[in-house]
Amino acid sequence: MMSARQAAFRAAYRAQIAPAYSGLIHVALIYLIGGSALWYAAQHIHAATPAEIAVVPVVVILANMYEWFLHAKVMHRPVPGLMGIYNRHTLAHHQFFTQDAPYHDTTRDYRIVFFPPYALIAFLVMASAAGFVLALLWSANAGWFVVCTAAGMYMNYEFFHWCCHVHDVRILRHVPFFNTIGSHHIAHHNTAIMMNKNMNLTYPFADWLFGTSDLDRGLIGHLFNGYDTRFIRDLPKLPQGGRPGPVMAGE
Amino acid sequence: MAITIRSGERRKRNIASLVGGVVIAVGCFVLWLLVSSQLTQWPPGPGLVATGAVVALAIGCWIRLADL
Repeated sequence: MMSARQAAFRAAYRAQIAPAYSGLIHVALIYLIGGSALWYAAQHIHAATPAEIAVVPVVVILANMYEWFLHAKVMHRPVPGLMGIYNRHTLAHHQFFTQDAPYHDTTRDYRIVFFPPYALIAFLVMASAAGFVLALLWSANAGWFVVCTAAGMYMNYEFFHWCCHVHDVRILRHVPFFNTIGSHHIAHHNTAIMMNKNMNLTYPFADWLFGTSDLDRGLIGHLFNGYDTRFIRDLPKLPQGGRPGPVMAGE
Repeated sequence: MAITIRSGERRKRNIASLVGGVVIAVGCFVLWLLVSSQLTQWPPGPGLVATGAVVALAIGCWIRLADL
């Protein structure tokens, strides 16, 4: 049930989205840029050794921790010089999407779901710099794997986050990883815990590692928790015992 | 936490969309050159470079117009 306060915020936010904005172009740009970067980097990988291929899981873990850090320490903290990110996320995204009404209605709402495409450019530049250094120090294949994996993880992030805010989860609630991050992220939209719990948006690895999850269970349990509510920590500020069930269309 | 609801008047475009438009135009142009050279040869021909410049400029302008 959406509160009058949230409904008013949504109406005001939507009224100020520029007429030229298109959610589909926004998403297409992200995936065209990310897909092109991934494809270009992959074309340069030849006869990779197992050690070079092992760069992929390492970057997946580092990207997961970076996602956690950015969300916890920049998007939810008023850092001087980065206030725009805090305003856009904590003051806008979290008022547009609450635990009780976490879904988007139209593609124009994508403006507040996805990052601006230039965030991807900045991320790719950072990943390319890291890949370049790794190529100089060790192996070109390893450097290209860094770029490939970083681009893939960014697109993974955006897709999973979009899935968290879809209206109808009749299918997603049964798909491993999707159901876990859906439940994990919507719990994060509870204002009582949003500043310091459930900061991952892909796989709740860093939340498990740094103890910022609202769940009290091991890593495998975290990754495959889905909508299971048996392991929710005793967080006294959480209303009604914490996580909600999946929000269904029309509810 | 206080709610931030902007007034109903038409909002000004944010400076972030200007900087972002420039950043994405440059980024898209570089990516275009890299991908097109991978598909054809390096350096890409003037037609491909010109097309890339137009596409990158269009994307940068759209970011600004969409105030993204």
